[in-house]
Formats: sequence, structure tokens, C-alpha cells
Amino acid sequence: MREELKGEKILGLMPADWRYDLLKIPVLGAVLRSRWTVLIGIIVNLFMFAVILTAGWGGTVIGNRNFAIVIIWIVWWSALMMVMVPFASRVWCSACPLPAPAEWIQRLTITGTRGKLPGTLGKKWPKALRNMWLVNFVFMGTAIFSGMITTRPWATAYLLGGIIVLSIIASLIWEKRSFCRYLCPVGGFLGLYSNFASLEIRRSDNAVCKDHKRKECFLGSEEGYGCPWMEAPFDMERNTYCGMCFECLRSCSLNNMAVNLRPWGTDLLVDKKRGLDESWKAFIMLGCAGLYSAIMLGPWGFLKDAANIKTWSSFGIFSVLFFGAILAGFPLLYGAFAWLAAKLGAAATTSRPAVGAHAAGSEAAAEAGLPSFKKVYLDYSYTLVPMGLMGWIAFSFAILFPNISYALPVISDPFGWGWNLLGTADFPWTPFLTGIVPYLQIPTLILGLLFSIDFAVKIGRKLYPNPRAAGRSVTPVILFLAMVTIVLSWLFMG
Amino acid sequence: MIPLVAAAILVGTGAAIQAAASVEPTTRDITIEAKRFNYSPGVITVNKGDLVRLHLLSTDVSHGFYLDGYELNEHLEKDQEKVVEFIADKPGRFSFRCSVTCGPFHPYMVGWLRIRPNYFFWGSAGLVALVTIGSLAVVWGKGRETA
Repeated sequence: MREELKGEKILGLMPADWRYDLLKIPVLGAVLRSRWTVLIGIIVNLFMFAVILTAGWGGTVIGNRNFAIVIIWIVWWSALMMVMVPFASRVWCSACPLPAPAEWIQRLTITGTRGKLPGTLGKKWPKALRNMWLVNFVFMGTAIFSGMITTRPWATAYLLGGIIVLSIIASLIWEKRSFCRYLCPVGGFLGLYSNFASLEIRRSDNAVCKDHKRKECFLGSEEGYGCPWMEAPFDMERNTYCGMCFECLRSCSLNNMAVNLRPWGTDLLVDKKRGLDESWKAFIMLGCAGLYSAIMLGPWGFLKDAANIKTWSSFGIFSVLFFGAILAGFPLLYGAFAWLAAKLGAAATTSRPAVGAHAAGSEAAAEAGLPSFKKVYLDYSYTLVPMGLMGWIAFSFAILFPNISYALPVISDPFGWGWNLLGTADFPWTPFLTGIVPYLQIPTLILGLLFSIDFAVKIGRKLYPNPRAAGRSVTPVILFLAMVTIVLSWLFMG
Repeated sequence: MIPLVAAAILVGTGAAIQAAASVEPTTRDITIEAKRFNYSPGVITVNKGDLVRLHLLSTDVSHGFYLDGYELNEHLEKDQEKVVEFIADKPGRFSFRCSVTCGPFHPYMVGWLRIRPNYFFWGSAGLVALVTIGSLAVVWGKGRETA
């Protein structure tokens, strides 16, 4: 447990260092340690995705009558954002069928623990790209076509098929789960938002890991592979790149790994390994939550026409605005508030030279004991994680409730070929409690605001040990968070 | 200072809502054109208590009109006007959406009906303001204690 969590309480209620190891429950321990648990999940999902790909390429072109569109963009997406990420971190990654063929090819086995395909290069991922930047661009390149992808079965099938092909190619060149970690468009935001999750895999006892020279969780043992995600589980402090595959539970011969329940968001207080790549991921995700809400839930026809590529010229303008707003506009707007936060924090320190030092630049600021502007910008950007996730949950309510009834016909007739497997093929579209959606969305946003403010205050205290400076510094950040909440609230019910 | 700002926000919000609530109900005849994949106008604003008479017209293919919260559902054939009438007795913002599959973007064919006063939105905004002001009061108060 990191020292920085001791004494902190999340929302003033939950001790940040509280943990409960689920492996203490014998049945659960046995289930999570078994290789079959993950494998069964993958096989079930592999079957589902085989149906999805078949539906995408060979089924009806009507999206809301096609298994691929309904299951992926209504059922799976909502389950991912509303349940899996907040409660179980990247557990989806453990059962994701897309990179499974690649991993099996790489290992030359499905259930065993050894083997390597001769001819696979097993290269290390380039050092300069060991971050989220590439994922950010891959995600944005996909997101701009979301109007097409979420409504055209063939587009969804090409996206998923492309991921499978790319993951296989990547597995032949680079080691382990390099694709999942550095290229998967879904993996990036799952990684960032899983820092908020109420579940983690960590070492149980620091001292045991310290004395254990073999580092089986990283290097592997007879019982399990070294971390496929290239993490060092004996030293892991954040969920970002933990794919929840439970491999370290099997490989550790000392049974020193734990699957902990914990208060939400404690990873956001961990200073280690923060980076601007993750900040931009936070901007991208929060920005997309707002823009998708405007496009998909809003009344503006010109936005829908542009996202639907009615004409290439309108799509071109839309793309420029979409990229500009998310990659530059939003970070710059946040930057103005972060700049004010740095200024106010410096001004509230006692000495005049300190203020001058901050103005003079990061080196002078460091000499005066002040955090640099970059540090202030970076650290406070993690406060956007709870708000972003809650924004997506609120958005998902508005997608799920009106559209979930489409799931009943497609499970009976997944390809739109006139089947009626379960007798539900003719179930009519039935909006489900759409009148109460805003009453779920607004409390969700307010909860996100409360978490974000709480983390902002805690991060502010770490940046500025002087409480007066911390209070002054966090003020613009809180105002920014409130402003974003109001904008999202307006989009949902204003 | 902070309690004064909070009080001003609450009083201001309350007064604005009260003013909107005191408008006399009237009859509103509104024509809405449905065309893939949006409604025109996309946003309709009425007051609580108004008798709303919607003249719905599809100009390209068959569309639908489903109003959240009021559970009104109409099937619109091309070029055939349908009239829907209801009393806007529930304030707030409600989405209306296409209920007949009309093409790829059909699930996103949405418009907004605003029935003023939108208590829930303004109440939520007030709550956001109170959370913000309360948080600032706490962090500034802590700074003052240690100064």
C-alpha cells in the first residue's frame, strides 16, 4: 500500500487504503486462479463475436435489426461503461476474444503454460511509443467514423475484424500483449478509466515480494506466464495496464497476489507514472462524451448529417472541428484554468520571490519549492477521469433505455434472415422508462462532480503542502469541473 | 462572502423559475417536419399547462414520433399530416424520437421538447453551484485556519 493513501478518505467517507482481498473467499479464489475461468469467458465471447462478424458481413443492413450493432453498441458498450469499468476494472480485457487467436498463435497452446511459435519475432515494443499517444490517435481515427461504425453492421464488422487481423500481425512481431497495451483503441480508455475502478490486482505483502528474487509474476513459472501485459505485478501501483488476466495469481508460487475490493479512484492519487498521454486520453474521452451526446442525442440535424457523411465536404468540416475541439480546444481551455491554478497557488505562498519564480519558469519554480506549470496541468487533469466516466455512464443511460428492446428481436433473428429462434423476433420497439432517464443522468453527473472535486482537493494538497496555497490553487479547477458538469447537464436535459 | 453568493444564486434561480411558472397557458400549434434523420424544428419550447397541437409531417419516407415522458407514439406515412394534441402538464425537457426504422441513423433521429419552467435542469444547476461553493468554502476555510 502506498504511503500517500494513508489517512486519506474518499469523499470524506471511505478510507483510501481500505482493501478486501477477494481471494480470501475460498470458492472465488479457486475460480480466479483457474486458467479455465478466463478461457471459458473467451470461448463464450469468441462464439458471440463469430455471430457478430457473420451478422456484420452477411446480415441485414438495417442496424437496429442486426445482432452486430445491437449487441456491440447498445448492450456491450453500456455494460462496459456502466458495470465492468467502474466495478471490475479491465476485466473485459481478460475475456476479450479479439486478441485471443493472436495469443494462442504466439503461445502455441490454448490451455498450457509454455510454447512459442517458431518464427515469431518477440520484439520489444519501441521505447518511444511505450505510452498512450498511439492509442489516442488510433482511437480518434476510429471515433471520427463513429456515426458510421455504430449504425452500419459492415462498418462494425470491419472494425472488429481489423482489430483481430492487426492483433495477429502485432503478435508475430512484438512480444506478448503489445497490441492490447499500445494499439487497441478500446484499451486506452479502459486503462485510464480503470484507475477509478473499485477492483485491483496487487501484491499482498511488500516484504514478501522484496525478498523474493525470482519475480515469477513478471518472468513466469511452471504454473503461469510472466505478466502478458509486461507489467511488474510485484511493483504495480495503478490499474492502467493491468489486463486482469489473473496470470500473476497462477505464476506466484508464494501466493502473494491479491484481488482487492477498494474505494473508487484511489489510483488517481498515485503520482507515479502520470503522463500527458493519459491527460490527453482524459480530454479525448470527456470531449467525446460531450460531442457524441450532441450528435446522437441532440436535435441538430447538420451535426447528424455530417457524422453520417451525407456529403464529404460537411464531413471534412466536421472532422476538422471534431479533432480541433477535442485535441486542441478542450486541452487549451483546461490549460487556462490550470495556468490560473498554478498562479494562484504560487501567489498564496508567503514569499514574493516565489511568485516571481513561478513566472520565470519551471526551473525557478522548482528552486522556490513550487510545482511547475506542467506538473500542475498534468496532475489536475486526472480529476477529469471520474467526471468523464460518469459522463459516459449518463450518455449510456440515454442509449440503453430507449434502444434495449431491439435486443429481443436480434437474439431470435441475429442476421435478419427471418429466423425466430426464441420466439421474440417480432417483439416491437418498446422504449424502456425513457421518462426517467434524466433522473438517472443528473445524479450520475453530480456524483462524478463530487468525486472529481474530491480528487482535485487531494491532488492540490500534494502539489501545495501549504493548505492556503492548495485551497487557492484548486479553485479554478473546481470551477472548471462545475462548468463541464453544467454543460453536460444541459446536453442531457437543459 | 461565499454564503452571500450561494444565497444570491438560489434566490436568482428561484425567481427565474417563478417568473417562468407564472406565464398563462395557451394553445400552441406547431408543425414538425420529419426527414431523414432529423426533425425540423428540432427544438420546441412551450410553457407548462399549454395545449400543444403538433402537426406532424413526414416528407421523405415513413417515420415515427415518440415523445418520452408522455408516451405518445405516432406512425407517420410520407406526405400525410398527423395531428397530435396534449396538455404539457409535466415540465422539463423531453426527447422525441423516431419510432419507425427509417435508415441507418434512425436511432439518433431525436428532437427536444422543452416545457418551461425546467425545474429539474435549473435545480440541478443550482445543486452544482451549491456543491461548488460548498467545496470552495471548505478548502478556503482550511487555508484560513492554518494561516
